[in-house]
Amino acid sequence: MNNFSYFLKEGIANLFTNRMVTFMTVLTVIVSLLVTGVFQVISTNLVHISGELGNNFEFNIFIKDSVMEEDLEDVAQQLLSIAMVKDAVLKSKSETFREFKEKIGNDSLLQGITEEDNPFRNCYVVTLTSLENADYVLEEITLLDAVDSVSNNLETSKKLAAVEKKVNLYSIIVYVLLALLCLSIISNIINVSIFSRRKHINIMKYVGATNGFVRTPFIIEGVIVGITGAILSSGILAYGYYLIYGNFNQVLEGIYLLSPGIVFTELLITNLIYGGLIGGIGAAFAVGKHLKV
Amino acid sequence: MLQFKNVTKIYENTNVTALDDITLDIQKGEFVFLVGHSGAGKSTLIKLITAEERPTSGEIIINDINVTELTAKEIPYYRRTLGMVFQDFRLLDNKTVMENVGFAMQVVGATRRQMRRRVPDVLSRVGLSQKARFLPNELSGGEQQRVAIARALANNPNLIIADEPTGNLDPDTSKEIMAYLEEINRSGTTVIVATHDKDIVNSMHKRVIAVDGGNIIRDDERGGYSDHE
Repeated sequence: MNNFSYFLKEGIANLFTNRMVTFMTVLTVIVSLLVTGVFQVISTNLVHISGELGNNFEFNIFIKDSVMEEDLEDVAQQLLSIAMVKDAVLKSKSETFREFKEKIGNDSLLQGITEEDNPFRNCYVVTLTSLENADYVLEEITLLDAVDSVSNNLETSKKLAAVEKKVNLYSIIVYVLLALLCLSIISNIINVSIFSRRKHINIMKYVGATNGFVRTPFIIEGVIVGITGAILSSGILAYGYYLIYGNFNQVLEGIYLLSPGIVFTELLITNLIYGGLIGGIGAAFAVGKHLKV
Repeated sequence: MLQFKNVTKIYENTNVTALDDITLDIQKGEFVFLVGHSGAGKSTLIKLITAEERPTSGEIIINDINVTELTAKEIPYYRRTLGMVFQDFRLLDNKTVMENVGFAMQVVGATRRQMRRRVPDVLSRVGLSQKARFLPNELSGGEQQRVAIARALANNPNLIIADEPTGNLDPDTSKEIMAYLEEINRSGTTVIVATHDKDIVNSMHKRVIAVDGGNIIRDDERGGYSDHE
């Protein structure tokens, strides 16, 4: 306990003795975390959007005209019994007609056509639990007696699934690369500050301080710097995101960007872990070079 | 208390033989001068004692500890049994006299209570009780070196190694510092002083070990400084 208060006091005192170095390190952490943060915001949104698209991907299953109104419920059951079909919602021909009428807004064209007797077909809007194997599922649906045709845009949905996978992969790569880069930059900056205190370290080593004793205040200093940078960069990013979100939040019809609250919480958590780890490990590396006495 | 058995040190990078098959025995409570000009091997000898360097071959035993076999983790604990004094004092500029001495104790995990008791005691032994709250740059060179001696004493070592302790001091102050070291020696602590200072060696009549070219060329029980060294 005696030592812990010493480590904390020493770590905090170091921050103020080397104000310029502290400032530079915090700045580097902020810049680094802004880069990873921007990437994180984009990638989480992409994952979110492609997920939404995947979830909302709808296939229109057109039903043969020969199928009677009262048999439609059976068709729904048939559709739902197919593996991976999440939902099947009926959109009747009269409903489609009404929508169409509203859209064109000109009744004269549709003279003589009634809701009951119109050229549209009954249709089931089917959503799948996953886009994988959508090919087979749709093929199976086509084989049903009641089904006339299936309208789908499977190519788009497949591309989206591929994008999602790539985004996940790239985000991991970028994170690792940036972590290494940040670590080396921060370690070098902290090294400058440690260099000015090498006499201090040297004396400690001569009087019999263990490496852990010498290292701990520096690690605490690094973690504080990392956390400060993390909070500041998260704040800056969250504000920027908030501005963007205010002006542009609907990506596609029905699909929105993640709310600033969710983004900020996620950013703050990742940045705190990321910043704290980078600061601490960076400092540990930097001081390690000076421990050989 | 201190034994070098056939110790050779060859620096790998430069391939220089700094010490060549040295055998040495220093008893508990001795006061020993280590003399020789720069590059003779004095510094290497001291670095081997403090475990800063490892010998290429041979064995070093200090306080019954085989220094040659110490692991990196054990070295700090071994160093706590030594007190080091340097030519350039090596005090922490931003800490007071009291804090500098206390720091050595804090590093080895002493409690505040132990420090409050021990620090004034060692400061009075070097005559600095009145200057406990001074910063190093408010002290003279001799006073700074006395703080360093107090710090070396803080953890109650049984061996004090002083590397050119008077190198930065005028002759009168040098004598004063040596008097403190002699006083410490009288209370039973073994003292090894590496020095160039001919006057001091000649006036004190202590054991003199002369090193040259990595060899011990002279070991006199009550010697002086030869002009050849």
